Amino acid sequence: MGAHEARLTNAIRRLRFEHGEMTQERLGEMVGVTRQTIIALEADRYVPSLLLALRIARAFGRKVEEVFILEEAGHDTHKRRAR
Amino acid sequence: MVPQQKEALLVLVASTVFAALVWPLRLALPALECEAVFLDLLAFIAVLWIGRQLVGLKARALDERDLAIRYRAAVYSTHLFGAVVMVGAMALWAAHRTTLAVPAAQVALLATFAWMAMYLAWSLSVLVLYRRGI
Repeated sequence: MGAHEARLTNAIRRLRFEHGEMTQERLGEMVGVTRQTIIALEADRYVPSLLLALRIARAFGRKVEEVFILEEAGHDTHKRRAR
Repeated sequence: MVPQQKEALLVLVASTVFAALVWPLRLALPALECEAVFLDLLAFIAVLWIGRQLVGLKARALDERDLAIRYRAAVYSTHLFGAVVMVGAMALWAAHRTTLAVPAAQVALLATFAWMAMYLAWSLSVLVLYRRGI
């Protein structure tokens, strides 16, 4: 990973299971996207808009930085703390 | 498969089929070459329009990821359209520069192929972006 490279990961899958095994379909309905988009998010194949990220965080009753983790070269301590 | 992927598959098949039909149509109607080419183009556009109704694609049903993929594919395909038109125009100029008279049918062909190439690129981009991620 280069000095300016960054990657956004998330804890959506874990949070879904912590919320009574909430289905991807249900979460999608709550935040206004399709199940396929939730699948893509969980697989880190889509970086959501700020609006969607906030909606997902709100759906879980968490702060956005507790759901989404920015991994940067040499700055991934946040990830370790969150997980 | 989301409706936009179905739409992309439809566009992929239609653009391939109608691009392949251009040549036989020209040969079948030598006296009406331009008309045959534009008829093919019109039929292609009609099939896409009807196909979209059948696929059930509605702009309201697209979420932000669908739209992001749609726009990115549109950027790629319009770039390709521009490139095909540029290269085609240069090729026509090179082929007819001595007479300075480009046959109308060749201009119609260029327009049709450029248009179909754009749709082909759009559909491929959509399918790849859904699979690879954006």
